[in-house]
Amino acid sequence: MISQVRRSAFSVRRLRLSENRVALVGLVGLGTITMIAIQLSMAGVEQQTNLIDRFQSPSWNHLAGTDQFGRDVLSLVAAGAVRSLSLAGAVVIISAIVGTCIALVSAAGRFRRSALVSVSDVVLAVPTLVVALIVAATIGSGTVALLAALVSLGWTPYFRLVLAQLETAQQQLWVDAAVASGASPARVLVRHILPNVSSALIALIATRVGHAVVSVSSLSFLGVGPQPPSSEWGAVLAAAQPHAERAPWAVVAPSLAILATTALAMGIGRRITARLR
Amino acid sequence: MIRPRPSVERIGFRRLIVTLPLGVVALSLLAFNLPLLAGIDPATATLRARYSDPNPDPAIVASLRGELGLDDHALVRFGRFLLRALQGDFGLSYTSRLPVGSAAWRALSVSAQMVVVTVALASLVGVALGMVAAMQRGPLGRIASAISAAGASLPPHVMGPLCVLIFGIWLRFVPTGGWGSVRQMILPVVVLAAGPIASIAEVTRTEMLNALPQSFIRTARSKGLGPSGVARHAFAVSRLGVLSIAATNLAGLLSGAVLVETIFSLPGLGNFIVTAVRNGDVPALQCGLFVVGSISLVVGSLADAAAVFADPRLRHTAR
Repeated sequence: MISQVRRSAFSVRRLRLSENRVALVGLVGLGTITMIAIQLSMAGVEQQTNLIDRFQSPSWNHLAGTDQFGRDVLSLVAAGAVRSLSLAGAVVIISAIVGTCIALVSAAGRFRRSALVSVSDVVLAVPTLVVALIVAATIGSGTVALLAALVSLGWTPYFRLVLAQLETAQQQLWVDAAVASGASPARVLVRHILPNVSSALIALIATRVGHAVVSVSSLSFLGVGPQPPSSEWGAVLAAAQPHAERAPWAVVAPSLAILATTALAMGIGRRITARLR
Repeated sequence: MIRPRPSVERIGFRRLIVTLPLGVVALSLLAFNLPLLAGIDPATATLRARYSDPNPDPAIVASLRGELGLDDHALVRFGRFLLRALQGDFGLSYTSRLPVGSAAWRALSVSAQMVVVTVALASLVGVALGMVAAMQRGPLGRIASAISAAGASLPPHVMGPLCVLIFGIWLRFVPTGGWGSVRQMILPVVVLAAGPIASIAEVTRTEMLNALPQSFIRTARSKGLGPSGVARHAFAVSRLGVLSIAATNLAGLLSGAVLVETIFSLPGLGNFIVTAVRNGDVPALQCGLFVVGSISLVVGSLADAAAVFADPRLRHTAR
């Protein structure tokens, strides 16, 4: 009897470990990409403008040509990877923390739950980009304004996921066991239930990175957040678009970078969610 | 991307009753507080705009504050703002000095045309692609899946410039900007529709794959129905999922419209907002926020309520 119980507890723990491992692999993968991107940008970026070398077509000196400021497009896009990915990462991680905290607060009370769910309904129903654009532009056009606007609109998916997971976890026997052994509600939530939510949360974070890259680059494309001298992909794209006829490579390169990143992030996210099921 | 599938009890009238009023109040509160967020005084900003004077006389500022009622209690001012907003009155633009509301109204007609055409195109193509992907196991189905996967990872600000480059500049098939003729509509609509097409196709495919193994399909087949009849039967139960995903997409569509209008320089609401952002024109921003937000809330809630009628099975449970 005892051995049976022990075995089942062990298998549950092993399952949880393997789930976390999958999520961890995804996270490490994304982290590696970020590190490589930083290395690349450190290796050979000349963000110096060089007006003699404007609009150079791709050659051995400039593999992806130069833009309207005479900057090497390839190194520009590599440097942009650091900017775009770190901003997107910041958006995702801060939103996840905010969403989780709000879910924890709302799981603790019935009234607060329905009120906060209604608020998240409103946030979900509103066009994110438009509201973020207007809010960020009013606060100020810097990176912090961009972050604030995107986080204040981007916490809802994490909130919903964590809330749903918390509610299923609350019905589990081991929660009763923890309560019976005298743990306070806060301790049960944070020490017992939250660790069980983490693997699903990590999977969602991985899926949302691509989305965040798109949001960040589209906002800076529209004129909020990092602006044209910056190497953020959206900003590079916005600056290159009027000169598309003379320097099409300056349009194509950042587009491909955004495209590759979103496709990659989507693929990783899909793989992780499929594994978790 | 994970989209939480709405559960049955969430669908329907909850959004119409709870989310819509709450959302409009929240939006107008945000719009009302934009000058505060921007750290500007409306009276000073108005005077600066009207007389191009960076430092207007404090006495005149004070008298204008009284005239605009800026010294009243915040609740009174908010009530007045809300009443005027519902009538489409958002004051004068800081840059053009013309009523913001009527400019937004003109811009709205362009955006509305584009969005309506896009929704029609996206629903038709998306549903068709999804059906083909679900029912054809051969290369045709795989091609359909590939097209929708490509659409999913192509945001408008990436696809737009690329399309301008390829079809506008290199091949010269279509004009690269402007609005009015059908030729000018092709690129913006296609770029805007790519995302919705992908998600509608994906949902249609999943829902159809769920419906096809069910017994009523076997009955339909045994009665001698051909592939198109079977597709019609299976789609009858898929409509709900497709409609709710289309409703969720609407907010994204309005966001995409901002990007598309900027890229193709269309005189729509998105361009109106982006211009206001560049000029720091706070009344125009208030107006844009209120109008775009409310439209998306209203249409979203209506679509959710309509979902009840789209699924024959929900008709009995929802009442």
